[in-house]
Amino acid sequence: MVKKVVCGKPRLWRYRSTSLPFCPGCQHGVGARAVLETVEELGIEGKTIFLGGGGCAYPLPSLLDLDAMQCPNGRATSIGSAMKRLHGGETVIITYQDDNDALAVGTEPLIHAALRGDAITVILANNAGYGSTGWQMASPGDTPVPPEMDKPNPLFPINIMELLAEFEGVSYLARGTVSSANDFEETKGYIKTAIAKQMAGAGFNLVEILTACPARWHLTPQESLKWIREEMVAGLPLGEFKNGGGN
Amino acid sequence: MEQKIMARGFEAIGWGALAADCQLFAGCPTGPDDEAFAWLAREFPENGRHFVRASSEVSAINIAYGGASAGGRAMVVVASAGWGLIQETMSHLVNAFLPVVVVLIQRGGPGAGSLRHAQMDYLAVTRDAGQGCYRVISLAPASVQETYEATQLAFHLADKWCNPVIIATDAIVAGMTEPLALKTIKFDPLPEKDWAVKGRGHQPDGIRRFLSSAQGFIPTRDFPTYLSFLKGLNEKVLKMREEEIRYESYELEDAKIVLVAYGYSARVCQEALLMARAEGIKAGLVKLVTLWPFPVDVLKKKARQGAKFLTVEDGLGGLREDVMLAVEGQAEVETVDALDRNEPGAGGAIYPGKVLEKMKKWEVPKVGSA
Amino acid sequence: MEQAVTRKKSAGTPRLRFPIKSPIAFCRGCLHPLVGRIIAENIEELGIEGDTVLVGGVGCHAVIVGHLNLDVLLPGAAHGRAPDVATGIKRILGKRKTLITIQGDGDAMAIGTEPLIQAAARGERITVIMINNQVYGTTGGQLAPTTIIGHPTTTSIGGRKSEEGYPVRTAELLAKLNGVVYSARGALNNVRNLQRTKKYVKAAIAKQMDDLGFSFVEILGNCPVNWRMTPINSVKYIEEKLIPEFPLGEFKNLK
Repeated sequence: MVKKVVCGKPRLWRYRSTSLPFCPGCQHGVGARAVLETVEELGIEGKTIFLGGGGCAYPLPSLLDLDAMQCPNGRATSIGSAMKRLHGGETVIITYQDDNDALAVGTEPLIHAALRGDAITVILANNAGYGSTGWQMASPGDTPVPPEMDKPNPLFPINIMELLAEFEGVSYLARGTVSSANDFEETKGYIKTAIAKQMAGAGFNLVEILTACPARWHLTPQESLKWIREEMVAGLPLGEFKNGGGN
Repeated sequence: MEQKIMARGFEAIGWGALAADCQLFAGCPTGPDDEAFAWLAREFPENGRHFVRASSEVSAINIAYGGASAGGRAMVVVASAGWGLIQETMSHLVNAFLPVVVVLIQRGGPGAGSLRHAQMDYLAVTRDAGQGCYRVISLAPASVQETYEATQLAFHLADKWCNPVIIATDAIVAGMTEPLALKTIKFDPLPEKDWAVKGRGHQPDGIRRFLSSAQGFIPTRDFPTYLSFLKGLNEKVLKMREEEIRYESYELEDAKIVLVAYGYSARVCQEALLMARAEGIKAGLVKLVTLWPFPVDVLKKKARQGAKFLTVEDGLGGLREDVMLAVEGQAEVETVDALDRNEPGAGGAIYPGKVLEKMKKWEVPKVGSA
Repeated sequence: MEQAVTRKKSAGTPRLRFPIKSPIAFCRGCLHPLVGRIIAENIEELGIEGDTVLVGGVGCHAVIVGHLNLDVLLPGAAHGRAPDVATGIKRILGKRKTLITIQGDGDAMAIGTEPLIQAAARGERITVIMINNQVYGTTGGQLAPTTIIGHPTTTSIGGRKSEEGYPVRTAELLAKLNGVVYSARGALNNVRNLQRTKKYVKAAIAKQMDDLGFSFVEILGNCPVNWRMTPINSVKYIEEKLIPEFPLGEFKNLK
C-alpha cells in the first residue's frame, strides 16, 4: 500500500523555526513545497541543485536540505546553465525565481537559456510585482494589474508561455496555481513532467506558478487568491503550453 | 514664504528633483531604494514628469542616457546592489559629455551584503568604476535638508560640466525624517544645450547633431584624435577639481585631532565632537560635502600643523586612503570603521561613544594646556 | 491644364546622405548601406527628416547611422541599449518625434535582449530595425543568436550544432508581446524584396507616428567577409538558406 502524506512538512525543509520568513498569505512557501514534494516523490534529492533568485524568495535556498545557492538577481538561469554543463545530465537543476527575477532583470539569461535548450527546470513564481521591494510595477514581468495603476504607457504583462513556445530548444511549458488543494496537485503534476523532461535530456522547461502577494497587493490572503483566479488567470491562462520538442 | 514640511531623505530626493526641473526618472528598485520609488511614482506623473519603470538598473541608466541626449534633465536612483550594473553606461556618459544625476543609496556589501545602511562605496564613487580614466563629482548629504539641496546642486553641476554627478547618500540619511524647508535654489545661468538631439528640423542652425560615446574612437569635430579627447577629458577633471571642492569644518582652528567623515558618520562625529570638547580634547571635524573632489589642502595644512586624523566611515578603509594621500605621510591617521559598529547585526552602526573612545586613545594636549 | 507629375526616383543617392570625410566604410558587397538607403528614402518620403532621431547600436550597423544627415547617436551608449536610450529620448522629446534604432542581431538579440524585449513589452513608441546577418560581424564573425544550424562561424567552426542551441526568430518573438503593434521581416537579396522591406519599414514608422505602440522590422542582410563568400554568393545564400528559415512577411500589424 502506498502511503500518501496528506499533511506535514516536506522532509526537505530543514529550518527549525515554526514559521517561514514570509508574509502571512504569501505563497512562496507553497510554491517551494510543490517543488520539494515532487523532488521527494521522484527520489532525486541527492542529485538536485536548487538555485534561488532574488526578491522575497531569496531565503528559500537556505531553508532546504538540498545543495542550494542564492543567486544574484536574474542570473539563476545562467548559473543553472553552467552547472548543468559541468555536472552533466545526471544532476537535476531547478531554479526558483519570481517574475521580477526571471522576466525583468533576468530577461536575457532566461531567453538565452531557452534558446540554447539548456536542460534545466525554471520555476517562475509570478506574484505580479517586485514583492520584496514594494510592488513597483514590475515592468513587464507583470500580470494584468488593477486599473488605477494603468498610466499613459500602460504596462502589458509578458506571457512567457507564448514567447518560449516556439523555441525549438524548449520541451515543456506549463502554468498553474497553488490556490487550492486541486490546483496544488495539478501544478505538482506539471513540475513532475518538467523534471522528467530534464532528466530525459529533453531541453529547457519552465513551470510558471501564479502566487499570491497579499502584503503588496493590499488584499487579504483570501482576496488575493480570488484575484489570482479571476484577474491574473484572465491574462495568463493555465495549462500546458508545450509538451514535446527540445533536443 | 518657504514651505516647511516633515520629510524623509528619500522624499527629499524627489522634492529636489522637482525643484531642479528634472524631467525624467528611470529606475528599477532594489532594497532599500524602493521607498524613493514609491514617492517618485506618485509625484512625478502628477507634476508632468516622466517616471519610467525599467526592468533593471542597466536599463534605467540607459533610459536616463537617452533623456539626457535629448536635452532633458534625467535621474536614476540605485542602491549599492545596483551600482555595479550602471558602470558601463556611466563610462559612456562621461565619453559622450552627457549630464545625468545618479542617486546612490548605500547599503552593505559586497554582493547582497545587507539591506541596511553602510558607507562602503566611497572608492567606487570617487574613482572611475567603469572603463577608462575619469572622475565624477560625488556629493554626500548628511541630512534631509542637505539631500534636498544636494539634489538641486547635482542637476546644476551635471549640466555645468556635461558629466554625470553622483549623490552618495546612505540608508540612514535617506531613511530619516527631519524638517525640510522647500526652497528652489537659484543657480547661475547655464548655456543652452544646443548639442542635444531634437530632430534636425528643430536645430536653429539646421545642422544635424551627432552624439557619440565613441569620441576618441571615431574622430569628431571637437576631438579629431584619441589623444585630443583624453586631453579634453583631463582638462575637465582638473577644472572640476579646482572649482567644485565643498566641505564644512567645525572647530578646526586649534584642533589636534581632526575627524574626517561624511553622510551619517558626519552626524555621529558632530556629536562626538561636542563630547570630546566637553572633556577638554582639542578635536575638530572636516565634514565632506563633495567626496570628489576631495579637500586636500585643508587636511594638508592641518597635517603640517601636527594634527592627527581620525577617519570615521561605516566601511572598510575607503575614505582613509584619500586622507592618507592628503596628509602625504606627515600625520598619523587612525580609523573608526565598520568593524567598530555597536552590534553585530546588519543594523549595527557607528556611535559617537566609539569615536570618542578612539580619540581618547591618543594622548593629545587638552584645552587649556600649552 | 498640365497636371503635376510626381516623379519617383529610381536611382541616385538619397538626399539625406551625409558627406563624411573620415574613412568609415563598409566591406565590399555588404548590404548594410541599403538599409541606410531604405530608411533615408522613407524618411524623405514621409517628410519627417526634421523630426527624426536615429540611435545606432554598437557594430558595423551603427555606421549606417552616421552617414545620414539627421540628429543621431552613434553609438547609442552601451552595446545593446539602443531601445532604452531611444525610450529616454522619446519620452523627453514627445510624440511628434520619430525614434528609430538601427541594430545588428548581436546588438539586439544577444546583449540587447533585455532592452529589446522590455521596450517592446512596454509598448514604447519607437521603431527598431534589426539587421540579421547571422554573425557578430564587427568582432570577426562569431556565432550570433540568429545563426542557423549548420552555419560555420569562428565560434562554430564545423557549423552550428543544435546541441549548442537554436536560432531565434526575432520578428515572430516580438509579435507575441502585447506592446508590439507591428513586426515584420524583409530581405535585401533582390530588388523586389528590397522594395517590400522598404514598405515594411514605412509601415513600422507610420505606426510610431500614429502613436500606437512598438514597431519592429528584421532585415535579412549579409556579411560576405565573415561568411567567406563572394558578395554574389552571399546574396544567393540569403535566398537559398536564410529565407526558408526566416520567412518574410508581416507577423503583426495592428490598426
